[in-house]
Amino acid sequence: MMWFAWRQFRVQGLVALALLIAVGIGFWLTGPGLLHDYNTTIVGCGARGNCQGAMNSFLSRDPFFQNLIRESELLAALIGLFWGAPLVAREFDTGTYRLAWTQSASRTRWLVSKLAIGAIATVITAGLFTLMATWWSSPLDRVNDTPFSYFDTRGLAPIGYALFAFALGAALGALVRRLIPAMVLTIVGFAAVRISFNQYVRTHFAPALHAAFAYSLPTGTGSRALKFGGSLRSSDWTISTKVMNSAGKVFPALGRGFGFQPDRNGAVTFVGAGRCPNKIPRAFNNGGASSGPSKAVQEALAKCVNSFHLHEVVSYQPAGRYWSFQWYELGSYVVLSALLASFSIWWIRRR
Amino acid sequence: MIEFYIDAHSGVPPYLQIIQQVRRALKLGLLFEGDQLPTVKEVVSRIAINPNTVSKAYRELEHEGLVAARIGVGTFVAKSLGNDSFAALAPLRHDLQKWMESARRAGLDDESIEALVRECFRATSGTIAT
Amino acid sequence: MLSGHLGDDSDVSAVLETEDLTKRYRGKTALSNCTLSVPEGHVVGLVGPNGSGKSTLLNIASGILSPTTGSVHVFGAPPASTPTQRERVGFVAQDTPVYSGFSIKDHLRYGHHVNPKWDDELAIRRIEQLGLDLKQRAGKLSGGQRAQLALTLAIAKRPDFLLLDEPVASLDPLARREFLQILMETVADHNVSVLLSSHLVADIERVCDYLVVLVSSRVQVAGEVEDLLATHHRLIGPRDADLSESQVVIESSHTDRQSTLLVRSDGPIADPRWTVEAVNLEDVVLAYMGRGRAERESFVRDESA
Repeated sequence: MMWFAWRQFRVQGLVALALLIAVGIGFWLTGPGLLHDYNTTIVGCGARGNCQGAMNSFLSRDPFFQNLIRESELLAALIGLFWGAPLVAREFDTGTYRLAWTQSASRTRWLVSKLAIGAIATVITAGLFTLMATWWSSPLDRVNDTPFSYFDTRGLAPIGYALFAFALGAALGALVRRLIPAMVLTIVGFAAVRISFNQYVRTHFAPALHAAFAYSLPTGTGSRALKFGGSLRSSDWTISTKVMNSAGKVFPALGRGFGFQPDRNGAVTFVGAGRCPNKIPRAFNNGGASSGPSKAVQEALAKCVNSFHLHEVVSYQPAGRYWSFQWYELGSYVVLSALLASFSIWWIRRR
Repeated sequence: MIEFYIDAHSGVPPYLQIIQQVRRALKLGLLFEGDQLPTVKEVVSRIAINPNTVSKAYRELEHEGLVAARIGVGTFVAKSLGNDSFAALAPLRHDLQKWMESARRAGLDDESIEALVRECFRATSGTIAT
Repeated sequence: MLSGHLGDDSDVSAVLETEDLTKRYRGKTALSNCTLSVPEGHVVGLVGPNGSGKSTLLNIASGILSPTTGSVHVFGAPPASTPTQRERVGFVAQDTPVYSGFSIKDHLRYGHHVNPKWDDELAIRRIEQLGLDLKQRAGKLSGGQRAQLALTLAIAKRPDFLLLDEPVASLDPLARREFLQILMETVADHNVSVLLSSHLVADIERVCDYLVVLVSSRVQVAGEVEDLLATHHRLIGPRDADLSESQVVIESSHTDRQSTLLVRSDGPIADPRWTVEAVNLEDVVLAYMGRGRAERESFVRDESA
């Protein structure tokens, strides 16, 4: 039966292998050059005094392969579309399931062997790709050290995504029994699960840490940058920022920015927080203009903001949790895949 | 060896058609005592009919004493039919052929010849009681 | 519908037995309360109009579909419930599906891998007999060749019971004949029971020795073909002529003065007013299909009244 499943999968498997080899050659040809540039232009750039420029030009190297890796999230979707969905649905479309199900070997064995061959090929394909991608981009990642921003395309997680997409495609194919609807549902379902998982699950793999900063009126143009300091470093994953006063009251409107609103009586409202207790000189410039407000106005506004005793609380996951999160992510998707595979088997047996 | 055929539109059950064909072959001297009939498998793989039909026909023929089955070997003709008239067959056929030729010369088409033969056949049947 | 049964099959064991078999899927009833029995050692023809449930019945008997309600037994056990059970039943599905990307050799190898009783020699002999190239891809075969390949797979599995769902419906007459030749050869060689659905009565008449007429899931008549032909007659007589108790009218048509009947009668027709003619299997099948439809229509009328 394994022979049968492999024979059926052979063409798809060989196509994937050929593509992997082509991409592998590309990585192999460009990877060492990237590492060499890192060692010559980035290492020791501080002494040469042009670190930012060197980093910027280094990060724009090999855009084709950088984009390929960035878009490699699609790899899982493609596996779901072209390996998962047709696995069972095509047999329903062509009627061959009736041939397969009336052999001496049971239909359970038929499905288990098909799932097994597909899953092995998926793990090998996604595993090799993510291994190459992680190796190739390691010099870039040392420069752009924000590991959670490229969490989905490095390390172990892509293997989980691919396996999940495959199992999802197979299950939907078994359920709807027609190839094209199964493919459509696979794409929609995969995107929905990935997006909501990123949003609602990954952040809770471990309790987030918090860092608090005094909320103050920034000087200059008025745009607020993320604050780092204390335990919070630029490589950490910032999940959310809340503005609250010392009593713990949250000001949701202030999370996004701030502004001042003068009213007819000459009073000024700090939008989202409340009316300023102090008097603000007239004709202040509410941000944006290059000249900026006058010094007296700035001081008055700062006094107003400080009167609310606000501070920003940042929740974050430290960069050090990157690998444990990768394992959690892989584990979660493997469990989801196993559930989907069990469902497919149960569903096929039931009919 | 005899080859069977089935006329699907005759309304005669297939096993009877086989029996009739064996009898006719015996009468016309196409089959002799000791000749082997095709095996059931040979018949069904040639004319695509149910093997039980062939077996049934052979059983009937065996019952009539016309054929005998030898286990593991096959079915053989046990008795020839129409031996007495067989000697007369050749001259009769010759006469009939000559008559046909003259009928054609007289301008009769196939249909007319057949109708004429049938009519004579009907008119004379029963006159030679056996 | 028991009145439709002929002969006494109680001494013959059944390969397939169903009772009140019902299958609903996607909101439609494909088979409802079907009760039938298929005797062992026969080539059984299953005929009926489209939508009578033939295909559903065969798919249930082969274990592909499971019934919604009712019971079904093949060799006394639920279909495809055990490995032995699966080994004993061969199935040639409608439109004879095969794997178009596989070569013929791949198919034989597949059959070998998934069937413990696989007869490789038989399979190869069949393929050679058909003049097919083992390396040829199944996707490039003609309809007839594909049907032959599907049949070869089912036969080389060496089943005791072979189910065929409209196997020759889409074939040209020559391919149809070749298919039936191989099928009959198998029956002669391996003593396999066959259940074959078809709407081509001429083929059924040729290869089947047992007939089941199914209309709207109901068995209209079931019996050995020979018995059916011997006990059914066409009677032509005056309109007012009556029949004896033992004669059942299956189909009748009347003019002002004359009646034409298709009757089942176990004894000879003695009444001299009737002219008795023999019928062929097609006449019998059509008469029962017509009667089945009339019954269904009156049933629907009663329901809606």
